[in-house]
Amino acid sequence: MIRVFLRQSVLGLLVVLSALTVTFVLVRFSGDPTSIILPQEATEEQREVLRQQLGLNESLPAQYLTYLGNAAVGNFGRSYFDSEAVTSIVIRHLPNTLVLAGASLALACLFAIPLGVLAAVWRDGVIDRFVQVVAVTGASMPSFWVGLLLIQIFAVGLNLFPTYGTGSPAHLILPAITLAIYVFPSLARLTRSSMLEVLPQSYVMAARAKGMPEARVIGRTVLRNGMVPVLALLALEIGNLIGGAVLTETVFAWEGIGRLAITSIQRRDFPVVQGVVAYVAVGFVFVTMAAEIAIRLVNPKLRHK
Amino acid sequence: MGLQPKGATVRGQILLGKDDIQAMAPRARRRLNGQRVSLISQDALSALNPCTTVGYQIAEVLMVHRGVAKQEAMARAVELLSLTGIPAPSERVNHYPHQFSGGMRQRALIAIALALEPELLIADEPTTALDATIKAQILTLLASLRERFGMSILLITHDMGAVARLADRVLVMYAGQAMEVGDVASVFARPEHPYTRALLESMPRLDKHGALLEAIPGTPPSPSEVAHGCPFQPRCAFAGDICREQMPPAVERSNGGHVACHFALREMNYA
Repeated sequence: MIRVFLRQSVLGLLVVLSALTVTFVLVRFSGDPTSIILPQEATEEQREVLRQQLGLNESLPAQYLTYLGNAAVGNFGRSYFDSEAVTSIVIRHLPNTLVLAGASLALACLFAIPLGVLAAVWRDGVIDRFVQVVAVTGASMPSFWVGLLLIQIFAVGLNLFPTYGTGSPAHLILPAITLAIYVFPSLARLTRSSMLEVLPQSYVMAARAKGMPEARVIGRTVLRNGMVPVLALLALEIGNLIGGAVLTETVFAWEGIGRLAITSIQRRDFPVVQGVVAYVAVGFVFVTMAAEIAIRLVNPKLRHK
Repeated sequence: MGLQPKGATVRGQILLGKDDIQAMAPRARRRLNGQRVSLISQDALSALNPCTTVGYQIAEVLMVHRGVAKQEAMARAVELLSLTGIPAPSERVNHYPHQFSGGMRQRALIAIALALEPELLIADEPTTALDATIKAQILTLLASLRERFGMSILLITHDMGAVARLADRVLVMYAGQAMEVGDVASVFARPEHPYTRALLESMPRLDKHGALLEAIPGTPPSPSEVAHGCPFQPRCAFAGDICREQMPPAVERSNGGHVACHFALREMNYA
């Protein structure tokens, strides 16, 4: 267990370091920030002065080392535009993303896992057909379109929810449903196939031979053994969602990490882009590590390897 | 035990004591499993849930059927493990199946099966996955537990040695049909059905050193292509025209029991 933890930590550190490096290089390929910050008619001298202030005229290796050194102590600099510290910008946007990710995942799990289990138990039955159809439909609809569709029906047509924005719980409902529809297909189908793999095992028959009630056989024996791949997928989805669901956040003007990243990229706000990626990478690493531990708690065989 | 897949055809009658099992409601039938009838299957590893401790798998039988509290049930699990001859049972209860050896898994399965002291233990090839010394130990264990709990064992096996060791009565089956039934001593000493005889002859023997092992020619039929008439007829050395036309009725054996053969080998003296 401790070795697993150590290995995951080292791997995690490498992941974060590579993410920092790749973003550092890529943002510098995206162009000169001064051409956006300063008006078009600014002279070359004025641009040069600004570059000097932003530290952009130093050599790339020097910039890189300064950047890494500051990042190591959690300092990602200040935004080029409003001089707010990157960390505080990220922290302002993070709760919105977390709330959205949490709500949509909870919603998806609430429907996908029970339906996936029932689909497997009554294979080829009504629920199974229903899950298959919903999964294929859900997987074929891009989330920005689902978002627009939901706005059209529930916000514009029925006037039940606000069309966009962040703030009240009512604002949360449509984007959460959109993302849940995005996560549902893979989660339901994986649950179903994972259960189907466990159902014919002899220990399931042995549980019935012990006279265990069927609900207990499914709920304890089958579900627990079939949970490992589902947990791994969930970890991946959490990782994706804390990185911000860019399309959904944009459609609903949701003030989350994804939208922050997109706006900052468009404005060539290097420190913000780098900071967002760094925080998301760290978050991703922690979620993966938590999943590795959770999987070992569920499956003791992996624990002793 | 009601574990057959949906749509399976079940013919005949199953009596447990005086109760007709098939006439029972599904719920009552489920309660029967573990309480009055228990099963130990051939592959002990795959019959244990890999995600749960062995002790809990024993305790859960007591918890579900008898409503015993978890702590008490776990204490009973330790007793049952020690009864089946597992060393250091109080540590072993908290281990997972993959930490058990093949013989210990089989013992754990027996402990689960005995938890509620059933009347009947169905042992479906309990020793096939085990090596020879462990096999002998498990058979001895089953015999001693049978005495101790006063239960019956229904042993399903290919192993004639296990039959001789454990069984009182033997039913020889071929392709799902009963061929011969009787006391073990009488059937082994004077088999009247050609299949029983061929089966006994194909056993390795210590006194025929160096001789080739006798084998029954041909292969067992798949369930979809069982021969017309007597199922064993295509491989039988004694088969005549009548065997191809009709299934022989069961007739009394000379030493008790029944045999289903047109040419029951009464005059043969097998030694």
